[in-house]
Amino acid sequence: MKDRSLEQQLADKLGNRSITPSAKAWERIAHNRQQGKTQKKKKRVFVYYRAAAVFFLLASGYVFLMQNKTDVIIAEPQVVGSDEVTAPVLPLEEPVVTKSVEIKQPEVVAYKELEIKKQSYEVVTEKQEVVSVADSEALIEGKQPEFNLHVEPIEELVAIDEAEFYEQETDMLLKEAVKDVAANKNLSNTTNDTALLKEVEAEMDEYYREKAMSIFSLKHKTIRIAVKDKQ
Amino acid sequence: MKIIRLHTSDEAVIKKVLQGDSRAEKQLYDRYAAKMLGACRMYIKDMHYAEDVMIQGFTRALDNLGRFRFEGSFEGWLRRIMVREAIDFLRQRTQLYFEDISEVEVAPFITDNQDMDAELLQLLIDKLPEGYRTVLVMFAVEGYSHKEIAEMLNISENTSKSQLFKARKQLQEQLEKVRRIENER
Repeated sequence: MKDRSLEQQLADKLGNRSITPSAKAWERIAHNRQQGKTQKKKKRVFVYYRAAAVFFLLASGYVFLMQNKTDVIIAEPQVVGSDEVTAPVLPLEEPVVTKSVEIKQPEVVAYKELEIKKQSYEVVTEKQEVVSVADSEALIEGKQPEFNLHVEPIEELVAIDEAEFYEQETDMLLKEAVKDVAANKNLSNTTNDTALLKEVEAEMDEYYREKAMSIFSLKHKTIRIAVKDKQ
Repeated sequence: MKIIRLHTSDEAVIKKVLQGDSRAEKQLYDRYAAKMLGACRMYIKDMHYAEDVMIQGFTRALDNLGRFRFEGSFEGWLRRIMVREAIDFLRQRTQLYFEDISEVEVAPFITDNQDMDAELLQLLIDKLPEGYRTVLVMFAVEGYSHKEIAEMLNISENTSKSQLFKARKQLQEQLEKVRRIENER
């Protein structure tokens, strides 16, 4: 065995050297493996949560937009009174009003409708009474009456039955209230989204906290080993 | 007559591990843990740190067992992981330092000493600076070429050669010291 190079001796002696590890080494490997598996699972769950949140947001946004598109206020002509035939309620200048506008300015819309109704009462004259009767007949037959929006105001105003006027006003206000309730329902849907996001954020916090704790525990072990070694 | 198989091949055990058998994992560990700790110990002076590196390496190997293609030996594959893990450890903890020198002599020296004990050899290489030790072990024990060492340690081939030269020189000096002490006795 003489005259062998030191490197050969190194390769022979150290290359195949076996040192029995401590009893806890396998436990630590098993622990590491378990931790890795749970982290992978958590990552997967987190991805699913994110995908679900994005999908939910997109779906709710789409539904919200579609609802607003279909929400058109159609002013129907009304026949007021049985004997007296008055001009039907005129439609709004801009009949397509989105819900968001309604929510923001409900008073303005109500005011506009009131104004229009007042105008419609003003339109009722002796001269036009014949035309109005014709219109009402057309309505009964199911035909759409032709409204002349450019009727010039007439000096003589017809006396309006105040009780009737207030009835219409209350009806209109009730309709507005119903619309407001529907709008509030839509708003409550959006609060669910934020709650879901908060939930996801909480999950993320928990995940990172656990990760940090595992790193701390590992570092703690190595420090303990180093301290032992020094002693 | 019932034949009890005492030794299952690495391939069979690995396949079981891939199917999720935790007992097979333990079997693989029992088979190679001691050898791998010996390999890690060559690079890392501290036994506890060497064990930490072995644990990390084993965990990584088991996590990536699906990448093992059964082309070479499993032990070789595992050993390569351990070496990389040990190098990473040394880089993080002690900042491996490689020093270039102009003269390069890469001739192995012959020792008149009789077969040395593994412990003594380990002690001798432990006294080398980490850069020298790493290159010496990779070249002499693991059998890596200078090109491979250069790639793994992210240094030039010349640096690897110079590190080996210095390691040999220093090792020779230490051996002479040991010889002198033995003669005095």
